[in-house]
Amino acid sequence: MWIYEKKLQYPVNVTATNPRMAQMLFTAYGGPDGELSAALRYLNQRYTMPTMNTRALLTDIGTEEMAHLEIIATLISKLTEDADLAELAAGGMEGNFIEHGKALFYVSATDNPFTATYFNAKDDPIADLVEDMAAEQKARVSYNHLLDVTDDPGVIDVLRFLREREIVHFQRFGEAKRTRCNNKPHHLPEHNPVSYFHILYASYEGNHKNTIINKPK
Amino acid sequence: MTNSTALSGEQAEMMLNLQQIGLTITDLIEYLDTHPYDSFAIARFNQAAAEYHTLHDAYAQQFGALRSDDTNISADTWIWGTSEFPWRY
Repeated sequence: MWIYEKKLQYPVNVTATNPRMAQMLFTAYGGPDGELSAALRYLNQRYTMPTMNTRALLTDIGTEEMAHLEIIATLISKLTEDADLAELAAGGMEGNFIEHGKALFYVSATDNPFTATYFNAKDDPIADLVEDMAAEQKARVSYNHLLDVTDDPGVIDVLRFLREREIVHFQRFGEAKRTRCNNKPHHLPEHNPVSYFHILYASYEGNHKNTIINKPK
Repeated sequence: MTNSTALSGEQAEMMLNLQQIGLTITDLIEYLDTHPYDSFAIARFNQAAAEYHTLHDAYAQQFGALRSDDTNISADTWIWGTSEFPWRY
């Protein structure tokens, strides 16, 4: 379950109405490397992660991504709440206004609707964690691009925070993957998942409390 | 931009403290997920978590519920449902 707190993870203050910037920020809302994609990817991959630590990491980062989604929504809301129709049209948000008014919709900056095909789950910790690392890097680059097109100090502050979190999460996913990769007994055939996972788990920092002996296939 | 519902004064200051300590905690949680035997980080986490709980309770007592299950500070008004949400602050 989840518990909501009436608090943004990071304060959001914008300097001026700016529908054009709001339109660009949709990449971080419903875009392929956006926060919704990140949250759903991690929270969905949890169910086949082999260790308690990786399940914990995906839960905690996935939950933080939901807080980032709220930050992006807040940025878009504040950048458009005082805009009139002419300002929205000048900022490229006329179509958005016709279809949704000032409500948010899960689309990318290029108006592609959100889709679950933005991410995957493979029932394999290496494949999933490598995807997660790539996702954090792609999100970091998107925040770089967004930083290139704004001079609003309030927006810049928030985007820099979010970019930093992408780097931290990349680091954490890398640590999780390294723990798995380095302990992998290479001589064992991968087509024998029971013994592969048995050794993998048992070797995890020598801690058998984290062990699940049989992974049903 | 001026926002009529923006927090001010002591409430704004306490909210900023909650955000700062909250981020410390989130960062430590994710770090500990991949370093579960780092006793220094565990001590820092426990310290930050205690600070957060104290500040959370003080904020909720003074300005109303941060979480829907915080004690309702009014006998006749449901504060959670009648106070502003953070994207409007």
